[in-house]
Amino acid sequence: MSDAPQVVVDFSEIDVSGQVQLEDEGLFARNIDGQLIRIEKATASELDEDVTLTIDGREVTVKKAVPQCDSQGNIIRKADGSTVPRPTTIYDAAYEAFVKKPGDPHPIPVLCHKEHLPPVGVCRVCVVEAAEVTRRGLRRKLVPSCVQRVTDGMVVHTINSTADADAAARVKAASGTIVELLAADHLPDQQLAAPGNELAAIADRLGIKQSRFAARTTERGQDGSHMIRVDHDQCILCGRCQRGCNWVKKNNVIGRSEKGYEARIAFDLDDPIEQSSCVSCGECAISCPTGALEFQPSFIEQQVQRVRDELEQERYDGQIVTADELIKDDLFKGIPYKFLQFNGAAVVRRMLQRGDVLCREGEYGSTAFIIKSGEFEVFLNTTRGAVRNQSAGGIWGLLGGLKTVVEKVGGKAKLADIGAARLAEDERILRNPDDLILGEMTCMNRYPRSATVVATKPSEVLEIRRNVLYMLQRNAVSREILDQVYRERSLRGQLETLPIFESLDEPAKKQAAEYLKDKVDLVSVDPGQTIFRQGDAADAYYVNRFGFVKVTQSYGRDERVLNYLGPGNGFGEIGLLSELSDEFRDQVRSGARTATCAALDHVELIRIRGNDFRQLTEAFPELRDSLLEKAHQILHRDDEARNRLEAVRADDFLEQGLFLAQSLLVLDLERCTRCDECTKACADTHDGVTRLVRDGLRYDKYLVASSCRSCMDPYCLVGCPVDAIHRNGTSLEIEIEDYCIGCGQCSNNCPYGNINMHGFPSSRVDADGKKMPIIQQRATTCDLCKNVGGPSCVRACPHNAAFRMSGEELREITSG
Amino acid sequence: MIIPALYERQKQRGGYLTHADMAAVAEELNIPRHRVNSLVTFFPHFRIQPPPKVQLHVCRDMSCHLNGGVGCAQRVAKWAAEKHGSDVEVHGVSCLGRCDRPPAAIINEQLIAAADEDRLKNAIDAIIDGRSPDLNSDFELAKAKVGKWEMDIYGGSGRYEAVRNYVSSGGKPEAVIKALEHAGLLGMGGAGGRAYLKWGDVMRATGSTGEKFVVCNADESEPGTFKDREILLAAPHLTIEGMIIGALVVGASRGWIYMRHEYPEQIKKCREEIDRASKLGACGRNIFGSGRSLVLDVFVSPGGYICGEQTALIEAMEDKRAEPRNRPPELMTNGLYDQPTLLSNVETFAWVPAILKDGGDWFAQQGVKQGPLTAGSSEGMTGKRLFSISGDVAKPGVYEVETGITLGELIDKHCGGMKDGKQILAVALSGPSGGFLPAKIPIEHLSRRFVESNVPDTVKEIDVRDLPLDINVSRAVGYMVGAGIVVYAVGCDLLAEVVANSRFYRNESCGKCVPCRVGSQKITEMAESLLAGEVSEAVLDSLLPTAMQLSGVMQATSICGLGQVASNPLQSFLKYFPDLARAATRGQAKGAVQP
Repeated sequence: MSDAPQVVVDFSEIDVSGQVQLEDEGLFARNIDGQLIRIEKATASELDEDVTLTIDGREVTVKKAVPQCDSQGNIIRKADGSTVPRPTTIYDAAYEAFVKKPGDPHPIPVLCHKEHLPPVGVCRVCVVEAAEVTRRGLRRKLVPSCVQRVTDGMVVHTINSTADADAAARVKAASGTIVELLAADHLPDQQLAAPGNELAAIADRLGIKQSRFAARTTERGQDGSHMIRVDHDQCILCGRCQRGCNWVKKNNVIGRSEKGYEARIAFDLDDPIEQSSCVSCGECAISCPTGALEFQPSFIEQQVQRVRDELEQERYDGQIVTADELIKDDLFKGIPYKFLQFNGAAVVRRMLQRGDVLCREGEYGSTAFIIKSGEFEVFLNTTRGAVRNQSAGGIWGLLGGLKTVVEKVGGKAKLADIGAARLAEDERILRNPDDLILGEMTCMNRYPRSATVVATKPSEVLEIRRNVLYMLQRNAVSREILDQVYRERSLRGQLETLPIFESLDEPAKKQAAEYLKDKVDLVSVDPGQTIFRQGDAADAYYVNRFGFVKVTQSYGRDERVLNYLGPGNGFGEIGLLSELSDEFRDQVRSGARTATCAALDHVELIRIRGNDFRQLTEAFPELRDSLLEKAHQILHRDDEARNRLEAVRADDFLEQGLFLAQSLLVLDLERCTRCDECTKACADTHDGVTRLVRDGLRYDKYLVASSCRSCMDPYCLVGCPVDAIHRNGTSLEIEIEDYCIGCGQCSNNCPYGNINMHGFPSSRVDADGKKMPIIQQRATTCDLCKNVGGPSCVRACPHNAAFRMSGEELREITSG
Repeated sequence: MIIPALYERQKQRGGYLTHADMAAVAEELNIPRHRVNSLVTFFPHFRIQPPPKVQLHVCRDMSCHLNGGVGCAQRVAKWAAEKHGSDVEVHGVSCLGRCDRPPAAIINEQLIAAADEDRLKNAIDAIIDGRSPDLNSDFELAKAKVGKWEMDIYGGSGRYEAVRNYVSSGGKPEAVIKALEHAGLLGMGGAGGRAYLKWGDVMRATGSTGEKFVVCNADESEPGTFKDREILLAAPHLTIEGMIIGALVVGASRGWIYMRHEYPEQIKKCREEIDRASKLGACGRNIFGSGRSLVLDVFVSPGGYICGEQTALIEAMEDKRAEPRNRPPELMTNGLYDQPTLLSNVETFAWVPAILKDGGDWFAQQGVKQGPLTAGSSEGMTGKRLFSISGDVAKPGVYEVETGITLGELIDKHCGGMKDGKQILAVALSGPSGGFLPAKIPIEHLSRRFVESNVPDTVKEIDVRDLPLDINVSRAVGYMVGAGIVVYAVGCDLLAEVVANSRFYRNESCGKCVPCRVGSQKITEMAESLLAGEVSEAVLDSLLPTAMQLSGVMQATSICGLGQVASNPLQSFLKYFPDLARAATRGQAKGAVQP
């Protein structure tokens, strides 16, 4: 403590309930007329409603509500495609007002709040002084900015406010005292300089050298599993681990025990973590702002050692980048330090010489590349243009655009990058550090690489794994950095190639693209989600960049699939055009959607809003004419389809995801004697544990057994916290590495139940260096017996009843 | 319904829950195990160890503390451990609401009032030997009040005329709200909000399901407060009638009286009265033929002072830890199950029949408005109200008095003066929440605006006896008035009382927000070290500003009233009794300064 006399900041100027009780009501509880406001879930209309408030003397206008995001920062959408609004808070508004570019500091310190979690307002470190004019005069109060909604005319002062120095002093005294309380009990000296300890960082930011309060005298104890170390004494009860466990990961393990000063977090029924239902996904430790939940050093060492060995084995020219180094990089700064530790080896530095290949087209990759220096050239498959808009026979012909993007190359599906820029003959695509990142699409959508990338000069890249990329998206700052690059790249040149512009000449195309450049939105749609519904008011035109869109129409009580649109196809013009022209009056209701469009898998769209679309058609009459022509064709085709589709019932086939399957295990039930040799062979190949179950969907006389299908878009890869599941090189199989931590995420992700969790005997080195036998849960799935040269289930069948085939092939033999 | 399921399990198991019981409840209700654990470990009513043959709980707060409850419990505990071993558990507990007969104890959920060592030991022996112990009941005191209060317009037995009149006159909610406004009824639970506003807010609010609720807060757990205990026994029909009127006005169809589990007589009495009202047609289906219905029940609290905080109470009813909510939203719009909820104190509802009898005229005329501090300071309160008064007065108890009478009048006219004619050392006017006021209050600690306009320059201090017991006046002048008043006479160890009150808040904090969870501990530790004589005069100089700053921050940033007032015991002591604080640094902790 310093020798200077302590200044006691006086709060008597503001509403303080404890001094003299006022009518006990929260600030901003009533509207201007004095009526109490019922707080409902934010409404969609509030997404467009403006609220203007003043923060630290700066006026800021924000929307009354913002769309709710998931833990990745993706906007959450309901089945009908609409967003879920949540009220804008003071904390959000301060971000708008003061964080202009990635990396700008947010004026409000927070501990229990984290932008990817729902706010709870318990630590009170984020208090700000807010003023409200009521009928009975001005009321000022300290409010938690993370939960306090914005109100028109609100005047807010943070610790930084120069507009009202007294208010700033009060806020600082409040925040500071709370941080001192926490520091006294939960911040041991050795944590003061620990990277990633947010309590230490905030104490430092507020200039707190030493807490005025005496340290805790009682202990709450320690606990730990092989992976996670729990130090209850450092726990500040912010509840971030609880929300991580229960809300983000839906594992429902962490709760709270006891009350008051004795309160602490607890696993299940206050069981030791090792005996609880904790699946060791690591989310709690990543969420924790202090040293209360950390990864065991032995676990981190093991992770790093594994990658080091791998690199050595594969003679890979990479070098592991440590968490301590990464945390200094602007792009990684916002990622929890403990996540970088957890994935101690998820980032590898690679130095390339001119001519070195970074990645090859057609490879399945689970990494992306951050370009630190140098330059790369991107080579696209030259056959790309040729496959476009070709139609094919059979079911795939019916599916329209599918054949335009799926091309059979050596027995596996390959996605041509139709979404990329249209190139002139001699045009080259070059990438340099300004582009920041390469290869992220493969990493995110799990399709094979669409291009080969070669260094044109000595270059340095950081190769990051998928889970690191997810983490980058979770953080607002790095997400914004990535978004900018992504948007720029996605739209560069691409607008000119929009199918609706086909009728325009080159200069007009450029002009139209220029017009749209800043107006279009990039939209991601999750599998199964509706983009718009038949009968809805038409408000936008869409161009598919990625994935498949299912177009259905209802006639009376029947719903039929009209089309499947692959990348490069536009849709939604009829509803917009019908407003512009009387020509369709007999066929469609003006301005209404004629069909329902939904995403079949992960879909990326370009959205052109209705007004922009209309202005475009006015500016380019030839565009309008060709669109009208196309609309006529579509409506005519729909009529035909309506008759023809009666006979085709592909929907079941599609909804079961079989169209994505590249390697189904199909059993011919007429030949199969149920001898189970296939299952036994599978078990024999995989340490006695079978990876297939001889049961599943039936088509005609065929059984699709429960065994990994090697989907084109494997959902299972999403969200693995340690990136232990992936597809490598150019082969189909999904591989699960031995370092799987058994959290079950992939097993939950697989819609077809084809990933199973099994306990394997293993051993663990405990704190004293003793080896202890344990059972380690691990995920298993079909690896197509890659080590024995082909699926043993097929080879083992004595009756020639087992086959491996793609969804397309199954469709062909069953529809014959 | 998790809490009821746990009650049931605990009963079946014989008074406790095993790990397997809790796992089974989670399984049956399809909820995560951590939710079960979070409730079982939060609410004192649940146990995870088999109960002993005898559980003795002795109150350690305010007047029980003043009357040696803590020492008594310690001696009995020591004796019991030697004699009965693990068959007997003796614990100090928070206020039991029997401050007028201190020290109070509860043995196997039955009351022993005005306990002494011998009575407690005899009771323990009796239970161990299978005999009936010498017990007390609350009705011993309450029976004298039946039909005696002006509040009780029915003279002891409810006829539900206000409900009948409301229905027969066609059910005009505006008329009721107007009467409440005219009467000037304020909430009697502590915050003193205007009742007509709250009723109007709930009436105008629309929920998402169309349903609204009425809840009576009968969790009376504030140390020093026990008036609801008597109302619920002597005149439960008033509270129930008030709730029915409230439900009819706001449009509620279900209601609960949320009652602390240490009030078994009151739980029984209220259940009986609800049945009686239903038989009379005033409650239940089709109230007096109006077509309107109200299903009323008693909800027994799983325990803990924090449940009396209105939003925490609602959380407990929703099967959650009783952790107060961030506000807004208020309960009037987003209450139980997120629907509009009228939640008021037992007494607030109980005054409604008397007010509606004449449109609020009588109530509006009550209240002393001509006292020296009242006149000119603020619009005085109206009506009468019930005060619980205990500590060093001759006759502690519950008194129905006009609002605005002074503390001195209450003590002298109603309580028979001070016990043994002693002098006042300190007064807690709002349980422990308002801190301790000294016998003479220096005016610099009162509201500057009030002092400038109402206090002559020659007056430097105000006698605590002259303070009017009026919420409106107290706000303007700068002190707190609650329903429970405790008087401490010269000779008591005030710092020990400070520590006890500070510990009360520390023990009862739910732990949700940091300023309360950690702050209440730190401020208690400061008081304890001062009491232990561990603080030197030099250290006091730095402890003082730290404690004051912490107190200010706790008041300004805690989520609910508990954290906002938790620092007041020590803060008021340091502010009003600097000499005692100095004396404590010289090892004279017992230094009651002679006047």
